[in-house]
Amino acid sequence: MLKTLLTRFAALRHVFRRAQIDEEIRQELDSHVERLVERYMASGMPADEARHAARLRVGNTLRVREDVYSLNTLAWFDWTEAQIRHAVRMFRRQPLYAAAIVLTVA
Amino acid sequence: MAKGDMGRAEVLQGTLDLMVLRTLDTMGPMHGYGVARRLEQVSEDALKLNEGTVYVSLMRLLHRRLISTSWGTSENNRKARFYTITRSGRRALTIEMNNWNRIAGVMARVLGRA
Repeated sequence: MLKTLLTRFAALRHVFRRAQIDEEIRQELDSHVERLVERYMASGMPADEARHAARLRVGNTLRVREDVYSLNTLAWFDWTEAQIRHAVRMFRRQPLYAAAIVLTVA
Repeated sequence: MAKGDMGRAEVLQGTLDLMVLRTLDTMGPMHGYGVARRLEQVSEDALKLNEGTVYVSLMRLLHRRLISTSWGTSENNRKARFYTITRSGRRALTIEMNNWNRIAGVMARVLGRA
């Protein structure tokens, strides 16, 4: 259970760092393409052909960034869902205790 | 999105994540490019992967805390992000590899006979 909580909190950090992570992924993808270009050119391919082949191999980079951004966004929902489920479980197990907390906070 | 599509996408994601995790387990800390090269090598280029998807896979594994990440320098002196398997990653890998082998065995029998 502690492990689940830790995982949830770790994922939550990703939500707040979405923009930064997007920039990092963009750089990683760029580097990746560059290295492939070097590799193809080293094997004799002309520069523009190498770049074309490299881009093709890496695939749709915008899609990759969207998917990563989505993942990080969903982490928020997972966390919120986990909080709600935890609260419901707490209430089910000890309704009087939970009610007391709610009333005190209210 | 139709449920069938989601199911297929999930299977493909799951298998890629398993391959990426296994790669990090076998090869030690690697950057995304290295993982892609290794997958190409080991699969004898049968995988035909869009290599960008490796980074989505790595993000999923990071979310699940099966891997961790840190900045380092690559072989050609470039700044690169390295990924390392964690202890829970190693545990999950064992479980998922056993699962995979079991399912593969069942499929072989069922597809062979039916």
